[in-house]
Amino acid sequence: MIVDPNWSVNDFMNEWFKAGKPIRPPFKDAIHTTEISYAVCLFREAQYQVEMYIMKPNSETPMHSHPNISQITMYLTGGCDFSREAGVFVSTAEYQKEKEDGSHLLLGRAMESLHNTEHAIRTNQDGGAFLVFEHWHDKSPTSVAVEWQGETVGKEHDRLREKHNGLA
Amino acid sequence: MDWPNIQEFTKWWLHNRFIRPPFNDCMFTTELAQSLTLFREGNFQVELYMLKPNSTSPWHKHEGVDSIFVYLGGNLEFGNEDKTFNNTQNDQVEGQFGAHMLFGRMAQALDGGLHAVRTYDQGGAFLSFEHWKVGKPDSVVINWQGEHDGPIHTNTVNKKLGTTQ
Repeated sequence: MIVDPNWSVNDFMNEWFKAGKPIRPPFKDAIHTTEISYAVCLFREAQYQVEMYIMKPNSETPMHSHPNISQITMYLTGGCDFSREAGVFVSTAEYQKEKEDGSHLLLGRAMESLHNTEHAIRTNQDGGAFLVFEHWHDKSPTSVAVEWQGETVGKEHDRLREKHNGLA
Repeated sequence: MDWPNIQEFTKWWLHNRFIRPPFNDCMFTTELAQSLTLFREGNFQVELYMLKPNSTSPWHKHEGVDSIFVYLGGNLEFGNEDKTFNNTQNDQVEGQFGAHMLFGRMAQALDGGLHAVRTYDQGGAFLSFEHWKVGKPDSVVINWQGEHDGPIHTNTVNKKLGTTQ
């Protein structure tokens, strides 16, 4: 899959699906863990990448943003609520249902965040999983867990950011 | 859909890359690993495993399950039935298209064979293709014979099986 530098993050997402969802984690900076999440970069090319996140049950991030990264978050499974305003989560409780094919009712639902837009996520007792499609505007991609502005989720997250930002 | 064996299922999924996590029994946590079932159909499934840095699982088996592991990234080593690990430290280099040199390499544990996994400072990720020849699939973290990773793993197993200790 060859990316076009003029693509929006939406273009990248559509092309990734069109190309048959290529999975090719990069050698460098592919896996990132914090107190509440595990992430693996499934595919990275130039300024674009898609990360898969799995969040632990009953966890919540503080409000945060990812400077100069446009992103689309796509629901996979589990119980995830998203927020774009401090303390206000949009509950997905009524959509915690199984589809006929055995998948989650919300599988494939997407939410776009423009760069520098604050957001947060919390999970229910099942935890949650989602894809994050990313367009990095001014840095080489690593992980949105690293390029994080706002309070972190804990000391492990602090260490991750320090390691990548050369502060350790 | 049905597949005659784990090899055919693995080949099929790697060609189609169907990402359709099931609603039920799809994510499990232990001290060192987090799993997500990417696809499940009948007695076959593929789980994604992400492992924390510098961790080693005890030697264990998954009874009645044929498993094929496909390396994705990070620095990890799979252990063999004879309790030796495949040393991959000379292969921790970049391969084609910016991927890991070991990307796509396979290991297997057929008929519930003994195995283990360990990681170094980057952690690791792999796909676990599974044919459950006995019982319905949930996760090989649950269908686990051997010492657990730790109390979190034990709690995960007990919660799923509806038992307490």
